[in-house]
Amino acid sequence: MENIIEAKNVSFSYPLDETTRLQALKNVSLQIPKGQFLAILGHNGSGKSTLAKLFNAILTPEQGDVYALGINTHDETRVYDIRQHVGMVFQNPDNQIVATVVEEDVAFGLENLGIPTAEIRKRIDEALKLVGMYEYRNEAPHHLSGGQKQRVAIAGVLAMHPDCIVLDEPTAMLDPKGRKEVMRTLRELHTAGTTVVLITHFMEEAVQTDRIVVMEHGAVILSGTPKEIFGNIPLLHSVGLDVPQVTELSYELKKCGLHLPENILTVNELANALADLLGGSRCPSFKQKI
Amino acid sequence: MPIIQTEDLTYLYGVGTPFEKTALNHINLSIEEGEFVGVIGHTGSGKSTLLQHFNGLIKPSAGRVLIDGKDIWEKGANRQALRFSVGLVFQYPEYQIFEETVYKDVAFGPRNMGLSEKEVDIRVREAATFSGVEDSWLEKSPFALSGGQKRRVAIAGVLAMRPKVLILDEPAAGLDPRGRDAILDRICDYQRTQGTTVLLVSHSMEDIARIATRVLVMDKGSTAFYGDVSTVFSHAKELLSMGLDVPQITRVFMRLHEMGLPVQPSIYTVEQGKNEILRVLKERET
Repeated sequence: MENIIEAKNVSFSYPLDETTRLQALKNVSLQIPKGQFLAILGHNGSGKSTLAKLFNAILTPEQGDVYALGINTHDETRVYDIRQHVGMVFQNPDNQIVATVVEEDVAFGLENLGIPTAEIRKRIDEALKLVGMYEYRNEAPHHLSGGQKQRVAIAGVLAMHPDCIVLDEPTAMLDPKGRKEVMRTLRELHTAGTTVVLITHFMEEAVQTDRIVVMEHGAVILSGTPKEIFGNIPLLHSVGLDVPQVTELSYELKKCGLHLPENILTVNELANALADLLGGSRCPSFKQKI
Repeated sequence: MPIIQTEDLTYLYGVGTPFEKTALNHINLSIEEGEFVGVIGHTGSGKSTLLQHFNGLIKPSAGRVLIDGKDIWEKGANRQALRFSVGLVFQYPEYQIFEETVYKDVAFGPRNMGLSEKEVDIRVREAATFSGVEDSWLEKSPFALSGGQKRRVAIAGVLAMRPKVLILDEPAAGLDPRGRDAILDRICDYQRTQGTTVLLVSHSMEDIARIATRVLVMDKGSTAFYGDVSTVFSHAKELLSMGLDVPQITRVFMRLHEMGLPVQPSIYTVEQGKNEILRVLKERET
């Protein structure tokens, strides 16, 4: 499969003072296939935000190469092409909104590209409908909730028609409702074919993706499907990451000698497995998302 | 005698404007000394407005707020002293740090209390220890610290006043799991060793289930529930209908209960879940 982003042996460091540097990334290689929904997990300081900033040439690696849609990010003449195809959304919605009206904010990137007005209008409407904020297009951003503002920020990126969208803890400052709104939007984008890279601390978000990469001390230490990653609970504990409560409970019960299926990640899966164990009837019709 | 008490506390925003809104609607609440209260509620449910009444930052539109049995708005009440005894840590408190050094920032509260420099020094060091502020940071500029470190400094600044009631609005928001556990563990230790009454707002039901002794649920400007953790989480259905979460484990046991299995529905930690399943299996064998 075609890779939308490829990092080859990249290293990066930040200056701490005049003589010492902090090594943020050490020889990291990562391939992100087109259309994948990828979650990057890891502690603060593990290097995940630095890696994300390499994906659209906000930073360029000190060693190694990053290719976005096949373009080397070291090629300064192509930076704007890369940014158009790989969009970024950050943690704090208030720091990303520049205009006083929602639709003007979404138009900001397009106007900078010199796109014709009619086309801008079309793209704004499309992008706001995609994130479910079309009804709010004439509102002032400060009247919106955090989740709504974050969806406006996502719309601003989508209006550029990117192939890939990278989000650095987009839900960290949101309440549970806002978090769910943003996750629903990301799942829809993924279904529509956009490559989504999500940096998060929330495991219930990570279990909804295709693939999880875990970073620690500037290196990728694990990569696999959510089922594979959460199958290794002792390792997750050792790197200090959260494990969903249901996964934790099935792990504890298995340690007590009970027979439960491998890799339980959702409320449904655990409830059904326990019902089988206790001899109750399953209710597969109940399709509530975790 | 309860340490915090409200009588028909009502608060309206924007009185006389088209935006008038009832933020709090006849709240009657009484919180005993030494409780660890987890406060949950939707954005806009009135929880922050309620908490800001407890140290007199907001004056009720109607009703009374009593701290230690005294109406804080009666004539002659000393509200400055009230703010020393009810410490409030806002959301993202690291943005409120302003002094040149960490030491001066933590000392700001106790100095305003008019304490001697010797006593201020004792308070600063004690608060620093409790909140995990290292000695080597004290003479540094707070702006040279990381976000998580700055947050500890901000919390130390409130602890240095030795408040009888400590109120924290989402103290772990935006931190990674390790940082979150570190902050919450320190607050728990502080509460246990000092016997302080703590009110802590969180959106994480798993965290509330783990650390609180009681839970206060706010919904549309009213108190929907106030009780011990298991009682409140046994109302899982009502909580879900208010748009709140319940712990994942609670949802599993609610589901099993609905399927007609002989489990308690009000289970909210992994440990309880494990014991409950083992209990049911054991009973089956006998």
